[in-house]
Amino acid sequence: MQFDWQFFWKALFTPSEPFLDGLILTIVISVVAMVLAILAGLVVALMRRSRFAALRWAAGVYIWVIRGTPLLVQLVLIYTGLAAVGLYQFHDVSLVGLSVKAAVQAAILGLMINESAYIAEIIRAGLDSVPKGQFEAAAAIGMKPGKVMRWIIMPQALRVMVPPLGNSFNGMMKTTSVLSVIGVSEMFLVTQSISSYTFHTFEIFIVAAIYYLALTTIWTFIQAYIEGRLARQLGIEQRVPITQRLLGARRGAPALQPQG
Amino acid sequence: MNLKESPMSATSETTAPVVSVRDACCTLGGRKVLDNVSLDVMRGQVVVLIGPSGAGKTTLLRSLNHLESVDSGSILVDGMPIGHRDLTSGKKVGTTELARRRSQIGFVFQHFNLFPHMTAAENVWNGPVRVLGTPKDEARRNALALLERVGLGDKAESRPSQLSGGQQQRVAIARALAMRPKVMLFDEPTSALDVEMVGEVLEVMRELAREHMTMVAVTHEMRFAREVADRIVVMDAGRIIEDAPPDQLFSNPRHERTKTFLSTIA
Repeated sequence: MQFDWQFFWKALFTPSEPFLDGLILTIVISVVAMVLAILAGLVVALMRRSRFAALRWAAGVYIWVIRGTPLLVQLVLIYTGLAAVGLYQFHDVSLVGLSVKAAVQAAILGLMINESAYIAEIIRAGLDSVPKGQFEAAAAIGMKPGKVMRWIIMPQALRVMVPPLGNSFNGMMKTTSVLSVIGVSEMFLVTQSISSYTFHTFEIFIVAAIYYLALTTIWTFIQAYIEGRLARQLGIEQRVPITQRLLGARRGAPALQPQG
Repeated sequence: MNLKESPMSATSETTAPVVSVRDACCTLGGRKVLDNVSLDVMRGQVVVLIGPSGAGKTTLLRSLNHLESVDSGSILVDGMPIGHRDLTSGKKVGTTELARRRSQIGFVFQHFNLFPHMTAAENVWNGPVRVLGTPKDEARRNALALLERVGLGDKAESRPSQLSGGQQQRVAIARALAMRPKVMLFDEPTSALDVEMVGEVLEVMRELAREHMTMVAVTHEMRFAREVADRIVVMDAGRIIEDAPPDQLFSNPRHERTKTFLSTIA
């Protein structure tokens, strides 16, 4: 085996500037796309529960189509397809002094659309998890529907929504690697180019894997913290050991339900 | 428990009913749950609804707050139709106006329905702050006073999950009272409680009645009904079959169904 340890350690501990830029772009795209996807998902989820059949139907079709087609296809359609038929072409824009590449815009849009369809279902399940009596109690106090959502339902639904949302974000960070196909110079594309001019394919991709692993591991800790806070808010002592979060459970833990 | 300095105790007896139901009909799942029901509740009156399960007591109570909507007939609370814009037009009331009207009606649920993510005190001051726009300090002070009055001054910072059923229900009553309602509706408030906790909730309700709070309660607590109610309304199969003061009703029920019902629960 010809594993170039010197190259490996150097790439791991003193990564080149393009690599670091790729890492940062991966994080930025993930965070921005996730935030937008949650907002879009919330809109779709609320449409799904609307009084108006047309809105419910439109949201349903959206979820069906987006979840039923590959992200890769959606990305190419948005970035290359729209331009090819002359519908819309992304251009580099400058946003508060930062230049945002055309491909990055398309990437964020694509990830947002794709993820929002899944998130809409997560939010719907979260809202459904709140007992009907909570809606009634809030309404009986005289709260308008918007306030009922904001103060009574959402805080309770969040506890159910955060674990799957966190897992979505975890997935999203790894999925950014497919953005290389539309030329977004995130971590995967940079790794590929380093590999092609150094021929240290194995070493540099191991380094990339370690960085992806670091990202998802750090997020797992953040997610554990958020979930712990929400559980405490409901007066529930809930401990999922961090080893179980990272290494998987030996067998399912009993579900904990808030009382009252 | 001192409920005497109650800020929401009703004042003088007036002739206008606080609750006025006229020919209410309601069909749920193809079954007629309310069949031409008419009922007036005067200010300061305590009315207890009794009857076999499925008689429509809970539906009638919920329709007073528009948690259930009737198919025909009218329901006025403090002179305003609860589900419609005004007396004459058939137009449904908007969500803002419905919320405003509901805010003047206290509702106590069988299963308490406290907000689990809030402390007892938050449960109580949440409504005044979010709905009435009461300043937080003031609302919090009122909430603590109300909790004191239902005997839970020391539980203000507890979460519902840390309270017993009886304590939760008393918090729920305080939550409803915080809105200074014109009428309090109780939907089987003690049915979900262990026997030893029934008394503490009934005691709070008794105090409210003593202060002339207008109340409508669905309950199976016959002793409470006998002691506290001004009128007992017996329902059967969606109809009101008897409406009389407790003495008269218990000693001399007129309707055969009432006799049967009373004998089953005695």
